[in-house]
Amino acid sequence: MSAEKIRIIPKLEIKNQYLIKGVRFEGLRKVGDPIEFAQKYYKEGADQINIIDIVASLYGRDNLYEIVNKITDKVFVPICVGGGIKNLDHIKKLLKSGADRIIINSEALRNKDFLNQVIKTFGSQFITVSIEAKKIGNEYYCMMDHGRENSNKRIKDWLSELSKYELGEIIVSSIDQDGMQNGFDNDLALILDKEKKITCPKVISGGAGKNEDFCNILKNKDLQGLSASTCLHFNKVKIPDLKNSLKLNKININNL
Amino acid sequence: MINIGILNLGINNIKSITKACEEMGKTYILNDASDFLVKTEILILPGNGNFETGIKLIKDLKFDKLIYDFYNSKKKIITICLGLHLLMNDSEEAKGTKGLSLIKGSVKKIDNKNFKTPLLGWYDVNFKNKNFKTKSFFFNNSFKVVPEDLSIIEGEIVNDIPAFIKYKNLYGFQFHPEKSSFQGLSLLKKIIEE
Repeated sequence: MSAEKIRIIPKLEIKNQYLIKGVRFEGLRKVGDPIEFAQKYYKEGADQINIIDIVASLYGRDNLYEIVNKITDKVFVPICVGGGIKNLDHIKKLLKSGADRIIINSEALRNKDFLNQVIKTFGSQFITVSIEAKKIGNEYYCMMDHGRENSNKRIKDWLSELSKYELGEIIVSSIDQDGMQNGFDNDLALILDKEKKITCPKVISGGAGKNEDFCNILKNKDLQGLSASTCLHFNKVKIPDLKNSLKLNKININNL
Repeated sequence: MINIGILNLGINNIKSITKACEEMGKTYILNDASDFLVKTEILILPGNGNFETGIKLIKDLKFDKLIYDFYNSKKKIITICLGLHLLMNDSEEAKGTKGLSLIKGSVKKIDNKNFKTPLLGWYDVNFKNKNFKTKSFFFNNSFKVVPEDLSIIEGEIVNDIPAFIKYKNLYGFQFHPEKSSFQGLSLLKKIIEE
């Protein structure tokens, strides 16, 4: 059994004040109040909660600070927040609202100086780099701006570049599997697993629909976290049951 | 109600520790040493980040003298993560920077091939005190404390990664009890009420 416990990480996507969910990042539906969902997942045993503001760059961020503030009043597990983070001022405001780590995707791809600047100011363990992957032909590419724009950088190339940075964590999400509930993307997880020069924890996201999906994706791979949204929001998977099932499969997890 | 003062270095998220302590006592935040209230019974030094920056801020805000005086008054000081590191003599993270030197020993980079660095996630902690059950807590750090007197290590992940230190009236968590769900809050409460 590895020393690292596998973290179960609900992902809350936020649009204005609502928790929303789509399929493959499209056809967004309102699910409910993100504060209520965060509290529910905390009580059920989530090991971390990720909050992504999917329209931050279009509508401003004040709603997000308010939501993070309300969530961290009552939730005592790590809260990581991302979506359109472009400058140190955004990060300081999120810290003040109670965020523990920040998640960066697009701006890291556009501007590596920014990544260096954040590491220098806040420390490497403060940063999660998120990668949103889309398969085009036989290759996976890094998408930006919640899937709206292709960076034309291949996932494996970006992972190799990121291995030169000291980071807190790397999350790779499959856009193709997002909301599909038929399992994580195994090929994508293999690409992430294969980059052995990365020493920080690795998390895979997108596609989970049932307990077995979580157990299966871990087989023969060195991953430290699994992130999910649709199956949790719509009660297809419940965190206590999921943790029991992982435990039965001899996977090292954090039991409450 | 116990009166708890929380030292704000201004670089960290102190919201969670403040909210957690509000459940256990009467809490206030010190933005510099002049905010100190005489009735304070417990001082908390949270922290996350760089050793050199931490020490500089402690001096700038005149927290160093406050911490020494509070320590000498034999009242409880609870430190978390970087807060614990700052109690030591020095750190590999910032060569040439002197710590508060309340505990003899150094801060060193975690170098154990069985562990990913940074330690980011939940690890089981085994305690010497049998009243504290083995539970998992949330860690987020690349450095660890190595005290000269190993007997002050009251909890550890494995032999060479200390997790909980108790020396006289100083308490040090390497993990974040305020981010470790119900088990973290309950341990923090025990230490505050001990």
